[in-house]
Amino acid sequence: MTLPYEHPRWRQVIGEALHPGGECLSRRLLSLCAFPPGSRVLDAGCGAGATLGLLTEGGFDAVGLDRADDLLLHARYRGPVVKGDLRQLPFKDGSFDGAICECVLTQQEDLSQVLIELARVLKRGGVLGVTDIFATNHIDCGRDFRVKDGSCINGARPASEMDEAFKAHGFEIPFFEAHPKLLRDCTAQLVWAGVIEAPPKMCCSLSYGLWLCRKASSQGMAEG
Amino acid sequence: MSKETDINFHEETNWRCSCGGELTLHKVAAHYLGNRFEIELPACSQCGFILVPESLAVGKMLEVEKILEDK
Repeated sequence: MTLPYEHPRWRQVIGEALHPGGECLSRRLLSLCAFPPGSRVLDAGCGAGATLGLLTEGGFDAVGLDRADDLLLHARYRGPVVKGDLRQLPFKDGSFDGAICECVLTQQEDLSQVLIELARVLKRGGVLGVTDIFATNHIDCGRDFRVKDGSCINGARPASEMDEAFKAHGFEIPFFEAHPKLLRDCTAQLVWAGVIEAPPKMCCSLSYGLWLCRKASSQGMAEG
Repeated sequence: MSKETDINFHEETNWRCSCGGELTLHKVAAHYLGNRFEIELPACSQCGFILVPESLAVGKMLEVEKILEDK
């Protein structure tokens, strides 16, 4: 299955970061994550390596993981990379101080398994920084992960569902902010360039969110 | 001619600008709600008037407007 960001013109229109908000939002995410100097950080779904580059330039011991060979070809020039599946991360338990996941979780049909793996590879107290599309209401839109129309939006979950998923997998959410304009701007540019078709009228509105999650320090996990 | 406009003014019409200048393709930019959208459109080389074909105005431009306005 070809994912929308694998379209040859996606990077040309949106930039190396591949996601709404681009490098500017990535820098904000890293700033908010405030990883201690020298932290070992996983860029889960690193794409072409834009944020991986920011991490390595910032002096972090970063590694990028993605499933797409063509994107890893670019990312490897920004830092160390590993080809892998988010549902089965090739890292030992507690091997990272922090992780980021930008515009990736929406693409995951099995969100629970991905969060299990991210929680597993993070140390206790480790920070997970996430940006992604979310639905702003609870109406069932008939979500479809097959990405038939070349858009990312089909996998968007309500913010409440995202919050519950994070908490169910042992994450606290100390910070969240929404950036709806960034999603509208990105979508408009992609439609204008002919990379995607205009999204159909949907029964739910979409936005773009930034979550800071912290793996609980104690042994106990929140009930899911 | 750009695919977006789908009209070849040189070959298919005799349209000229109201100032009498010839309409030729120029790379122009439309700005809306903080976004910049580039496209080639017929523009007057004398007065700078830009012709936005109806097909574009009610097509892709409208689509993009609705997205930006979240309608």
